[in-house]
Amino acid sequence: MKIRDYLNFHLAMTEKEIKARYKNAVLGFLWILLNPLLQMLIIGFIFKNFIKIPVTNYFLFLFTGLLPWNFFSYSLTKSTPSLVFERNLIQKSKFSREAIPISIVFSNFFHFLVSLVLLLAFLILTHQFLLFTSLTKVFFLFASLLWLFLFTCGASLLTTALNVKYRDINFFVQALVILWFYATPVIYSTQILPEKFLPLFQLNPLTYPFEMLRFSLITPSLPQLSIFFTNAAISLLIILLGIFIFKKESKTFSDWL
Amino acid sequence: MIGSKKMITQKLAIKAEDLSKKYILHHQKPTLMENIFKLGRKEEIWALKKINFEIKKGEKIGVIGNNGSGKTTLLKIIAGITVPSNGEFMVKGRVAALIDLKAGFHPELTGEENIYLNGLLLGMSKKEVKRNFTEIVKFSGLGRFIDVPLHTYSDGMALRLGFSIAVHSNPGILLIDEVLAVGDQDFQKKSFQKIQEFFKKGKTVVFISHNLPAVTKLCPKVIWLEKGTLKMIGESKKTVRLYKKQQP
Repeated sequence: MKIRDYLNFHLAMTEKEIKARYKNAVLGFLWILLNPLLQMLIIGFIFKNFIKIPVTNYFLFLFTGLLPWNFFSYSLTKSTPSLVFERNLIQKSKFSREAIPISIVFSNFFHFLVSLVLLLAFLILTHQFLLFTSLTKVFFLFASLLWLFLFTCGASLLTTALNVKYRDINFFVQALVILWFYATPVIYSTQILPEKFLPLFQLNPLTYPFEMLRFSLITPSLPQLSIFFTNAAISLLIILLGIFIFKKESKTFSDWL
Repeated sequence: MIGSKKMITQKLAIKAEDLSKKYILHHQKPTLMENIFKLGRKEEIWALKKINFEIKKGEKIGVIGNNGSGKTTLLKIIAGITVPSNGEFMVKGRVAALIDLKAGFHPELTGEENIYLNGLLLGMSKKEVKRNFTEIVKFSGLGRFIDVPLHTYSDGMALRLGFSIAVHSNPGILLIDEVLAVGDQDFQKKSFQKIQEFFKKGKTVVFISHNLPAVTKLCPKVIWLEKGTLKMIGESKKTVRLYKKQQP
C-alpha cells in the first residue's frame, strides 16, 4: 500500500469519526467548545472561591489545562474499547487495524486544535496574547502539541491492543484516567507546589507537555529540566511499546473478537 | 532452472504449504490478572492441520466440507483477516470477500459517504472509488437514495450497495461464501450475472458452499476439507461424488 493511500485511508476514517459524532447532535460542533467551557466554569468556581489557588486569572489558567486534558482523556477512553466495538468489521475485512484507534485520536486532536484556535482568538481580543512575544513560545507550542499527539497515539495503541485479549484493560483505563487527572498539572501547576513533591512528576509523562503548552500561552516559567528528561524517556518508551505490541497483536485480532 | 521456477510462482494466485491454524479456546474471557497468575482453563483447537494446495491464476475452486471442517478459517486466511499459526502461505493480488456485505457501513453516514469509506476499507484508493462511483451507484440501483443516511435503508438496499462496492473493487481474487441471495429477484439475477462475469473474465474465484450442484457447475476443481485436514483436492464431479458418499 502506498503512503498516500495509507494516509487517505486514515483521513477518511477520521472524517467518519467526526461526521458520525455530530450528525445527530443539536448543537453540533459547538460541543467542542461548550464542553471545556462548562468544565472550566464549574471547576473554576470551586477553586476560585473555596480552595484558593495563587494564580492570576484562574479561569484562563484552568482552560489551558482542560483543552489538552480533554484531548488526551477522550482519546484514550474512547479508543481502548474501539476494536471490540468494531468487531464486525475486523472479522470481515482486511485493513490496517491501527486506523480504528488512530482515527479516534486524530478526530479528538482536530477538536483540540479547533478549540485552541478559538482560545488564541480570545487571547488576542483581550490583549493577553503572548505567543509571538518570543520564538521560544511558538516553538514550545508546536513541540507540546506534537508530544501530546504522539504520546496519546502510543498510549492508545497500547491499551487498544491489550483490550482485545484482556477486557479488564478497559476498566483499568477508566479508573486510571480519573486518577491521572489529579496527577497532571491541569487544575494546578507544578510551580505552586512545594518542591519536595516535584520528583513525583517525573513519573507522569504528561507533566512537561502540559506545562509547555501553558508556558507558550500564559504562564511565565517552565518546570525543571530533569522533569523534561524523564517525561520524554517515559513517553518514548510508551510510544514504542504501543507500536510494537499493536503490530504484533494486530495480525490475530480477529481470533479474539 | 531458476527462470522456470519463477515462471511457476508468477502464475500462482494462492499457495499453501503445511498451512495450520490454531485457536485458543478460552472457557471464559481471560483478564490480565488471570493471565499473570496463570489462572483460567484454556484449550487449543487446530482449525486447520497441515493443508497443502496451489491455486493458479484464473482458476475457479470450490471448497466443500461439513460444518467445523475449517472452511471459514481458510477463507479468513485467504482474505488476510487472520494469519496462519504455522506453515507457508502466499496470496497474490487484491482479494475481495463477498461475506457480510454490510460490515463496513456506518448508519449515520449517507450512501455516498459509505461508498468511499467501504471502498477504502476494501483496499481501493480514493481515485479508484471516484472512478467507479457512478458505476457502483448504478449497479446498486439505489438512485436518489444515495445521499440519505444508511440507517434509513432497508436490509436489501444496504446489501445491494455492499455487493456493488465489493464487485467493483476490481479484485484479482474473489472469495464467495455461500450462495449469494442478495436483494429482490431482479437484483439476484443481476448479481449472479456479475459473478458469472468474474468466472468468465479469468479472475481467480474461491467459492465456499454447501450447494453441491452449484459448486460442480461453477468450479472445475474442488477442495474437500474434513475436520481441519485436506481430505481431497481434484476434479469437481469426482470429489463431490466421493464427498456425498461419505455423508450419512
